[in-house]
Amino acid sequence: MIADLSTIPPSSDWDNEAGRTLSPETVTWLDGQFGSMTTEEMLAWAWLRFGRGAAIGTSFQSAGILMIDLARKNGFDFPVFTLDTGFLFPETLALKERLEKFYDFKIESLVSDISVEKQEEINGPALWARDPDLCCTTRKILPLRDKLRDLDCWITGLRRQQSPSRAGIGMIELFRFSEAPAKDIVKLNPVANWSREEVWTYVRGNHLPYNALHNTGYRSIGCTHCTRQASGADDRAGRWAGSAKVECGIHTFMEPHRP
Amino acid sequence: MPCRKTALAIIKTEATPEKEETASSSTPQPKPLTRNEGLKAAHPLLEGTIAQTLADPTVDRFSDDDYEFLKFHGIYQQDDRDKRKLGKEYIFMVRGRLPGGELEPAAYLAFDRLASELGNQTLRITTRQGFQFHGIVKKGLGPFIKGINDTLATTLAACGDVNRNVMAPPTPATTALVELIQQHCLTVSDALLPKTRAYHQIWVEGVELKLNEEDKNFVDPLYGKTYLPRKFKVAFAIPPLNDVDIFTNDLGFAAVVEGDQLVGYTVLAGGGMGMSHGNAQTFPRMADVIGFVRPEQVVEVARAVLTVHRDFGDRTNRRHARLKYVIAELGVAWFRDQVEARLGYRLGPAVPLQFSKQGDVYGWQQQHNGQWFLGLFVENGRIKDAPNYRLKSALARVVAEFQPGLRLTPSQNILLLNISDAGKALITGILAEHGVPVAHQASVLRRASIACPALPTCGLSLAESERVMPGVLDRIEQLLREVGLADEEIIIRMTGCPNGCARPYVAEIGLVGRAPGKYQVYLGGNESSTRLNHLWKESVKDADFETELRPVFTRYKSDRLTGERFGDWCQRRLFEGTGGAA
Repeated sequence: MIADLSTIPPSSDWDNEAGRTLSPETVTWLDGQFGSMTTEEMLAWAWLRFGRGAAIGTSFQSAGILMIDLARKNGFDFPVFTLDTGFLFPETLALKERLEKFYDFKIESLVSDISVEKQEEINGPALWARDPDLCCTTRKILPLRDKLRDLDCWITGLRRQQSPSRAGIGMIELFRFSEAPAKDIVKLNPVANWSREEVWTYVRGNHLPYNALHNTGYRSIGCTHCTRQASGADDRAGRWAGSAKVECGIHTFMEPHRP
Repeated sequence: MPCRKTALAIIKTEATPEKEETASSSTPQPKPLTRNEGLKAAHPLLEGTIAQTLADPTVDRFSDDDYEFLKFHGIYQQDDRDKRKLGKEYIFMVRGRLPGGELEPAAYLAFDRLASELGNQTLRITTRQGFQFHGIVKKGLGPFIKGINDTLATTLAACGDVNRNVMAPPTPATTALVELIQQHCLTVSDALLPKTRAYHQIWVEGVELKLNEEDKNFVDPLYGKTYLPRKFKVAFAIPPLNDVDIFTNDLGFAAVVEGDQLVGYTVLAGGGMGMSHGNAQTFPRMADVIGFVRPEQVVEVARAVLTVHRDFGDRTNRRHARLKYVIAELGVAWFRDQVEARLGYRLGPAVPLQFSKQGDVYGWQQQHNGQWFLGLFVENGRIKDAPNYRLKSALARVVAEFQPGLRLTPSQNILLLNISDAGKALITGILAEHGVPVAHQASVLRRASIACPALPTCGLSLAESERVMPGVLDRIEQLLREVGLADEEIIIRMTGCPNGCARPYVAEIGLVGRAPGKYQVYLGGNESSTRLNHLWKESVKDADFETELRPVFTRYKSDRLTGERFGDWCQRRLFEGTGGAA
């Protein structure tokens, strides 16, 4: 199955910008184009535009695995990374190894400069319970920030159906580091339109590895301290259950760069 | 709680306590000492394997253990956090120790050359009157430190669990006492230097250390075998100017002057800025007044206060290890007794302190001896060449041609001293050629601001600081104009993490990084840095600063008393009845 690249306008039609990043106007235009494209076509575009300057970030939810599968099948050799917070389930770590064997590649684990032990020394015990935002910042946002500073395009497994907070995401978005020197990063959400059922049909139908915890009542899977078994309509149920927190912050710490 | 029970019973006057922690058997299991304590005990010369690694061209970094020892040598191993794509690129930050911010012209010129040849082409004035150099690669580290030592300056004990750079008022126009107090500052600085010979051997002689039996049992005569539990900071001040932010130091000496004679010092102890988000055991604290000492007693008092920290500081938790926690938990009276027991005499009754302002003076000013000095504003302390503002080149030329005295200030500016009338005009001209004005150097808001380095070099930073501060100040200036407060001086300090290098907890507005693009906003410090501010809003997005501050500025404008500063108004109206516990 090879993506049909003929549907993508040649780069010179829309992308006459020098440098590695895209303008907000271009990204808005592309988002309109991408609405009618398949996941593979979007991945193909990213591969042509950015090559290995684009990378897939995944926490091994099933949509992420599906996307890795589509990329590998089509020969899009994007680097793949995950955020290893030090609090991942053994099943999640095992899944990472299974995927590495399955596709015969390496998945980079991003870890915080501040170890779990050091965090306890700095911020006191059980920070996740007292200040989950700060815990997520230390364990996820900071290592991700340092990674994204040096990438051109971040490919995510976000889906619109996952939660109200994600319903409005674009297929392609531009974010700006709230920093100087200013830097923009393209965020590509090529599986944004997939429903939960479609994802599982694909993963099961293609016999892809998936997180064993899904067999024991877990929906979305994050860190051991802050993930519970859950049911219901919300695909992100069970994350920070019992608190108002719904996002770890990796998708909200940068400002959208709009035209 | 740290295990202090056994230590409390002992008043030590010399050397170090040897593991009292094992002595008590009836109390619950004591908390283990930190990893750093084990490292220091195993390598009391602080040599680690630095020399071996330095000599090995095949490695680009030092070990995790050596990382800790390097700090005592004034070196931080870092990496450029904007460039981690291909793994970490190790770079080094080197901090020069310059008591009272004083340096010779030849030393300045050497620093300027070293920064150009081996660093990132900038010199950064620190908030403790030292110089920092960033972006040095391992290969250049040896020549760099040797180069600094060739100027008779040092980087020894610029970082690490020892006394840090001693601060003193740098501005000669204040009073003729400045030179005398600078002498006392140097004396205290020298008296508190660690005595390890490893530094000199590694960096100056460049020889591999051969440790003999005696070395392995080396005990520093002041610091003992395991040095301090954490850093220790000393500052001198000449009231009513509090340019050194004396209350933020572990130990302060505030001059007591009668007529034009120095009669002694009011001693302060137990200040410190650093804290950790989410950790109630940690907090910024203002120093307490302890007593009065005569000028000739400063060294023995400094030793006594330092050894109380050495003996009673918490060695089980580096976040809770500064002297301020000892005094906060055991009390000022207990602390004074400890100090007096070590001195063998009572401290005199303290003379009340009167401070009216902090900060620097700018432009040409007449010294007490009739010569001139120039106060030059350096944005965020970063001496560099920008296309239309070639400060680094300008300073190098002026220093080479006029050989002025040089002092770095606690607000990260530079003073050129002892200039004649003729020199004054020529220097103004040279600076102008390089785009550096002498009059109207910067806006009031910029002159009253400090930011720490943060990203991309500092490994502790959670958010940006120095790189975004100019833009943040532009925006706040615009906002102040919009609400009718143009040219209002407000002291604004920003840090990328809560450790407090820019002393944000005494600013009128303190912005403390909590996550990328998010800051804790503190309000309510004062003009003289004698009061802690208060946490006002948490996790404010950088983009929302205007939205958050506009209503407060508007209220302040209509509600303030005549001449009332923003920080004082905040204290009065927003935090009425609270003592300033940040």
